[in-house]
Amino acid sequence: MKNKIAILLVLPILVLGGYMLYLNAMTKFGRVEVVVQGYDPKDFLSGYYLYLRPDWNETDCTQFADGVCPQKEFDETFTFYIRREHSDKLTQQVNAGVVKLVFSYSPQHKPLIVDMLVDGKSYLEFVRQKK
Amino acid sequence: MVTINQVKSQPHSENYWMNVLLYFAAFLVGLGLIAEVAANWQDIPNSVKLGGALVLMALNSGLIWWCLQKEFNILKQVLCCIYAFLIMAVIGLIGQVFQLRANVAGGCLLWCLISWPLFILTPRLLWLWLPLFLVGVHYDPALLDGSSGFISDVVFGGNPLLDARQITWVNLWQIICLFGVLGAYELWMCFAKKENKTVVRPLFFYSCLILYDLYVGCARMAKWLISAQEALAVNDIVLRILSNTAPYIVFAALVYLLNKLRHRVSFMPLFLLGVIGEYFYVLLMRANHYYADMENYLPIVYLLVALAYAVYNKKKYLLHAVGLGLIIWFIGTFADDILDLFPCLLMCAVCAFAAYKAQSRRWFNVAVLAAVFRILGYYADVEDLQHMGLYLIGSGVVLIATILLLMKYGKLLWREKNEK
Repeated sequence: MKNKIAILLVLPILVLGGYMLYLNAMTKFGRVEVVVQGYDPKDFLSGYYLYLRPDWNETDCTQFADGVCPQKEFDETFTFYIRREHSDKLTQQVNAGVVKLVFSYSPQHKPLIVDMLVDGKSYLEFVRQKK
Repeated sequence: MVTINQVKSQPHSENYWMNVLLYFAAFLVGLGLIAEVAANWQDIPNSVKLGGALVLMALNSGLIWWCLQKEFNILKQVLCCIYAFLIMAVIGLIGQVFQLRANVAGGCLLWCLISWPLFILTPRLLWLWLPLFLVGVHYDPALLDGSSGFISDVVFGGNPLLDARQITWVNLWQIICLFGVLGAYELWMCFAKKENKTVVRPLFFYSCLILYDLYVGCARMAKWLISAQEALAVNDIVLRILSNTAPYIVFAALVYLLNKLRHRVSFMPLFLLGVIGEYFYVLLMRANHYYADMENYLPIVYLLVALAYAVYNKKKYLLHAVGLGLIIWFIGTFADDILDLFPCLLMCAVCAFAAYKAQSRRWFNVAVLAAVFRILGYYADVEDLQHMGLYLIGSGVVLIATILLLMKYGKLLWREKNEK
């Protein structure tokens, strides 16, 4: 009985650990950059994030197979988590239209965000420079 | 189900209510953990954050194991509750690190799937599991606007655009889940033997629904889940309420009649009231912009109606559940004025002294805990999420310590008094 309880206690750790490994593997596909627009709401459960919408007219579709943007494979909106103190600066950049989301992408798999670029630089580098 | 007279003959012990408060304290600690995760510490590498979360989970489960060995039952239950919240916090952390879509309903359902083993150790976690399950099923985006959510991600492999057939399947799944759980529970209640103690559990179940409804009424996140902001015509609102609540009304009426035939108590009317209230709330939120007032006033109106229902029908346990809801509302709307704090503390001290004199241990505990709640409420006005997390964790720990002290040293205090 005690062994069964131990297994039950460890089960959530194994499931969440496995989920982490699976998501980590999903970030190893090829990179594509998608131009985004958006605004900044607040969500208590997940902290602060930018709420972004892909702008397919501005996105370079040559990075995809046959030069066609696979719009149907991407969600209509994405969220990108940021620190509260960076939200104003990053919102300005999103409004200025210089922000791209970098996805780990492979056909038939759900694209996963791996970074956000501001003026071609990673957003972390951008906010560090702006301090 | 048992009759009212049978329920009346089974009063809860003082320790039971202390345990309920311990759960509430564990809830605060868990909420604090979630707030800490939500504060999004970007300076910490992702691998450290994720690894740390798993280590914390392992530590927590190790402590539960240790409590099992030492037979520290109350502490084991509190740790299980914290573990449940920790799982929720780790789900939030994974969403943050891998930039997954902010899907509250999906998070709730994933938590429900992962945390079920804890029930075997602490069946009372049903109090937490059921409301979150209902939120998860009820607010999956597919049901709201036909976009993909957790359920469709699992069933259809994350395809963001669902066709009509897939949306129908997802909606059907949700209805089966929601009605399946409610229906199975009610039917089980109807046909359970009277001597079966577990038939009293529906009281917990419906208390969960009350709290769930309160949660829906208070939760600001509902605002983000509703994208349509256009004003609706009154007849449109009425039509939508009727169309949305019709299945509940039919279902509730059937179960209520079944219970009537078998001379058992049914709380279906109350649940129905909650569901209709919730739809009114959601639709009124769509129709106008008085969010802040609605968030506070609709739950209190609903709770007062439920209170009247409980008093009129002499449903003692329901009265306790509504009382708990009112306390939560009261704490949730605390003002942070220090001029209110001292009179409250003085009142608590007078009440505690009077209770001591009157040899009422229960009211003495209530007075002490009310004072602790009021002090914690005074410090609740923290804007920064990171500090809010620390505040909640601190409050939970203070409450746990107070309750454990009251339980341990209260015995000595009242024994001495009785000896005198």
